[in-house]
Amino acid sequence: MGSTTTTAPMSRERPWPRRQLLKAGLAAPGMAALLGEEVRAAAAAAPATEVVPLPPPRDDDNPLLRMQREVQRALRKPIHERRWAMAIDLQKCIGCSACTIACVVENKLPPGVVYRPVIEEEIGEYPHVSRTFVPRPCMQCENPPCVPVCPVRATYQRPDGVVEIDYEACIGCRYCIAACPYGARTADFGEFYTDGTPARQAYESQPSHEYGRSWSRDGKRSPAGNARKCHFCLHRLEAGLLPACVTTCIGYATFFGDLSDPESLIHELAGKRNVVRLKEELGTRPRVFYLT
Amino acid sequence: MLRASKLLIPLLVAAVAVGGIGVWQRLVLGERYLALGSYIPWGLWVGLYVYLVGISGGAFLVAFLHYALGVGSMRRPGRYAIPFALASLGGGLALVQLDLGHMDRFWTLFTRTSPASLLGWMVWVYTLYALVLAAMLGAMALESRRALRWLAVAGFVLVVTFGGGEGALFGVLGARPFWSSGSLPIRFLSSAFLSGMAAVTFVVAAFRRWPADAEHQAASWFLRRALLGLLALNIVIEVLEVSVTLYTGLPPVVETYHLLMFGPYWWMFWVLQLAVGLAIPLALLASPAGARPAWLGLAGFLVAVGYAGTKQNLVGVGFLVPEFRRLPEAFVHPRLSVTYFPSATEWFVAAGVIGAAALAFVVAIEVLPFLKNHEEWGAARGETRRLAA
Repeated sequence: MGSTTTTAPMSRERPWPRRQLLKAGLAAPGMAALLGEEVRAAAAAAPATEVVPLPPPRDDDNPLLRMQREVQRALRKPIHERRWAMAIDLQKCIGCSACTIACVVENKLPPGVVYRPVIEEEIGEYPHVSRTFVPRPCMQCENPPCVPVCPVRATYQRPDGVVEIDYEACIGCRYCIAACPYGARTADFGEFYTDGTPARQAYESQPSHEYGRSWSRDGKRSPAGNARKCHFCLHRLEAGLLPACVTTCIGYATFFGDLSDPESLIHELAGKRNVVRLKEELGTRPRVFYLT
Repeated sequence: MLRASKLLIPLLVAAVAVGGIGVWQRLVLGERYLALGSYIPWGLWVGLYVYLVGISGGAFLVAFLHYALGVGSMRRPGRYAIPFALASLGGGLALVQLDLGHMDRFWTLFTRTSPASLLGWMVWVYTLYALVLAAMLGAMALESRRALRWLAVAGFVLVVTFGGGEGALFGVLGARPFWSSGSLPIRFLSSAFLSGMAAVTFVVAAFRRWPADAEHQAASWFLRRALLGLLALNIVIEVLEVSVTLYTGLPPVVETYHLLMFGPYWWMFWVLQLAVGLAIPLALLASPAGARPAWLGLAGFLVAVGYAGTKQNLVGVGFLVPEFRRLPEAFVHPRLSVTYFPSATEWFVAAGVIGAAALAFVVAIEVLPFLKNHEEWGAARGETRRLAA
């Protein structure tokens, strides 16, 4: 298709604007079929069309690369000047649950513990039915209801806004689970996927690296017996990497960054008209935005 | 030994033995054998904790009436009320301790208390209350009326604090529309007074050591009327709460009430809560039969049992409507479900802890001389004092 119209050698620079190329490509086979070989020969003999080369591709064509650069830029600031936030484009989310699985793998989550389920909602009635998918991480609320209820200060808000759980202080009363209006906290009951089988598999003893520490599960020691939740993959962030759910999203539906950086993509998205936050009426002020 | 004690002690020992199996499972195998999950994080044990701590406070009211307010007819019930309150408090706190994911860290509740957490404050209030109860037992042994009076006042302040505070633990959860209400502390307090006084009424009828004299008649007369009054107060409060909240039509609240009445545990509401805990005792107390000590004791027993169901319903049903309609289907696992029925471990432990608390009470009134022979004990202490003077 392109070979019939492109005369410039293959290079990283595109000789034709994409739209023009597409139009030409779609039109050419039909024209050739109608006009026959003569016309095709004449077209081949015609001089090459003058095209304006496209600018070289930039890194920020890919939002992941841009967001990663922004994360690294934010890390150069003091922690109290960062405000980590996430945006999820519901128009783009296809409900593949890749983010859920990536999170389970990244944090070595045991059975019954999930940080980012994808809620499926069905709208309308047959024959006019549509579905929407709502990934639900921890909202990292600015006013988190789970924090003040903890009797031993085991859960608290970091200066960058992420709500953290001190696994070694948590007594496992599950009051914070009852207090979360988003169902974003789950309890680790110390189970393994291979319970009831002849042998526990090695992958279940692999340590997770939540909160920058190594946590090996034996079913009794923390994080077993604790409340657990999404922490925006703090251990990855501290290493300059995006959260696992962001990098795994195949449709670029999840965005992440420092809300205090006006040049960042997350700042740009948070200012859009189609932004909503879940259960805003509760005054929790979530740091997870949804683009509808 | 009293006939009721002879009958009950073997049963209670059996309950404790069964509880031992459950406690062993809990300690050795962890939380794996609990039927709880992340969407229903509290179950039978928390429901019973709320209930037992509540009846402890209600029982204390009886002691307060005698020792602080000087209600003479409550002398004998007031004496039983203190060990009963201590035993039920211990049972409730033992259950909630076993419910913790990390029982070994319970002491951090004292060393790392969050001043912003109601639960953190409650731990201190419970501790002070337990100390007051223990001190009152000591003061009863010493027949120190002055100490008993001041301890009764201090204890009553603590009872009102934690009785309302328990309701506030649930009421402050804005995430749970069924609970989130300023009236919940009042509801908890009034139901605690009712169930605690009812439990003492039953205990007095079942473990009576004294003749059915004029003082006993006066005690029965008082308890009957007090129970009727508290039942009426509870009915008014509950009817107001239910009618007003249902009228608002808030979907999660309406749905929760619907589940309460017609959901999987409909029988808890209609049979245990309404019939056993309300209608039958109300009929017994209002009829002439209510004047007879045995029927009065039965009415007290039914109210106490019914209110165990009430608290269980309140705790359990509050979680049945998920935060998002489709959340339980988003990631499927038994721990991520909005259905709950206690596991065998939970039943065993509950039976064992309640059995142990009841056994502690029965042993106390059978062994401690100032409880077993308190008529003579009081006279003897008075004689000793007179001689010393």
